[in-house]
Amino acid sequence: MILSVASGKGGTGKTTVAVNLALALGRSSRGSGVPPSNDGSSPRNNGHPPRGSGLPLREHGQPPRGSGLPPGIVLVDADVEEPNCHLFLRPRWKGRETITLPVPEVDLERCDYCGRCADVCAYSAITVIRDVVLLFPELCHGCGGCSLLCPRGAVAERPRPLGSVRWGRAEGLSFYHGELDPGQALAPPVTRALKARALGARGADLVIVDAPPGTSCPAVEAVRGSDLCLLVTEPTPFGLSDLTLAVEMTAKLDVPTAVVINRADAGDDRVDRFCGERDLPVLARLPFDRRVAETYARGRPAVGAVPGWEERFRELGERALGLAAASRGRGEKRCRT
Amino acid sequence: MKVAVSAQGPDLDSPVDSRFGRAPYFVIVDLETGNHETLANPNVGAAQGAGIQTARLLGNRGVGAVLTGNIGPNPVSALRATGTEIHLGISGTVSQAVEAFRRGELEPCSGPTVEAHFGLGRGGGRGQGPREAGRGGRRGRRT
Ligand code: SF4
Ligand code: SF4
Repeated sequence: MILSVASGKGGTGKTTVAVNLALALGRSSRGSGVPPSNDGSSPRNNGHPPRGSGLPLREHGQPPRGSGLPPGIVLVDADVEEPNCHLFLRPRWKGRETITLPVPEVDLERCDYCGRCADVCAYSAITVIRDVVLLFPELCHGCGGCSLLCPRGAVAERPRPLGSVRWGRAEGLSFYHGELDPGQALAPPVTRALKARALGARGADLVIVDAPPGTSCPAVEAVRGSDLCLLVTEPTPFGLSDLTLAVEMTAKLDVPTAVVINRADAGDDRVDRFCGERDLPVLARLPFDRRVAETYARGRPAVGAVPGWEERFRELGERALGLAAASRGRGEKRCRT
Repeated sequence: MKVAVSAQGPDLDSPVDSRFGRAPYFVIVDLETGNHETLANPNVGAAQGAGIQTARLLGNRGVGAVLTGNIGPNPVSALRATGTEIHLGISGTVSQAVEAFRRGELEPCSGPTVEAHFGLGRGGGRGQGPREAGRGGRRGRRT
């Protein structure tokens, strides 16, 4: 089961929701023995180490062998440009993997400057002008087209590091995040690798993905393939306009969508009306709470620190899992790659 | 030498277009013969890499100097790698620009922000792999 948490812009409380949701569900599955969703298709197993993996491998990743992480709930911070969940969770890191992209390297002894590689590259990452072959590695998407189609076998590939994936444990959760190396612009391959690693974690039966803000490629990559996407918004005109964009994104990705209204007591009802018109379930209306803001400022999650919020997030989590389970049959068909 | 001018229209009287990769036309003037030809730029609507593609197009036509308004760092690298002169901030009509160039009034662009990496050298030998130069390394390539 994959829940993604996204928002059309930053600052809506998306990270707060993702982190606290994971913590609240983790506590309920361990503590009370009450599964977060008692729906028959729920992957939970009363807090016991789960059977096998209830999770389909959506991406082509393999479970990281010997990652040292016990199974259960996995929180993924997919904002590889600015990861921040770890600031609240302070995980004990267990491992790290460099993520690379294969970029071409041309053997000029073999090359006859025919220009075929430049013709096939959709990103202009390799070009041939007269007797000069030029590479722009930061434009290369690693599709392999140039090396495949070079008639003289002059193109080899070498791995170009883009960033890394790290994993660890925090408060009973498995935690994964990705980091784009400084100066790198190509986030989606790192996001893909990150998700593949997290989904492949042994026995990961609930993966919560904190997507980067916005609706561009990195966010799309993070949300793609989720069983449910929670869009976090605020009841303001700006919130509404960003929510509208985010809803378009999840619709294009064919990901079932629900809304969480944050700071629900400060604003108007336009977001509510919009959700009504579009048949978007509003799973939670989170009030503004100064104590939550204060713990946030101190870098601590609300669950476990501010009374009442664990219950709030558990309830949100249970509703989300129920909704996700209901639309899961559809989800299987969306499997990409 | 052939001089290419980014232009808003197809003629010598057309105004210079300030964009390089997305200029609708290039008027190419052969200074030796005085002849000119017009290229409709096929990269106007390219999603990305318009500048690089345009540099390739012009380079393969044997253009030795480019007169335009602005240009991105990647096409600068491409033009530099083929020894093409670059003149920026050009305005007026195509023929005015070419005249100014002929009279030697245009300063070649000297300090572009070369952000892209020269992948491989000219002919022969095994080219180096593209460099992951940090900012400092890139700056070191400025001339
Ligand atoms: S396709 Fe191969 S031979 Fe042709 S220019 Fe590219 S690298 Fe050289
Ligand atoms: S691998 Fe693909 S994107 Fe990269 S240079 Fe070759 S053709 Fe272009």
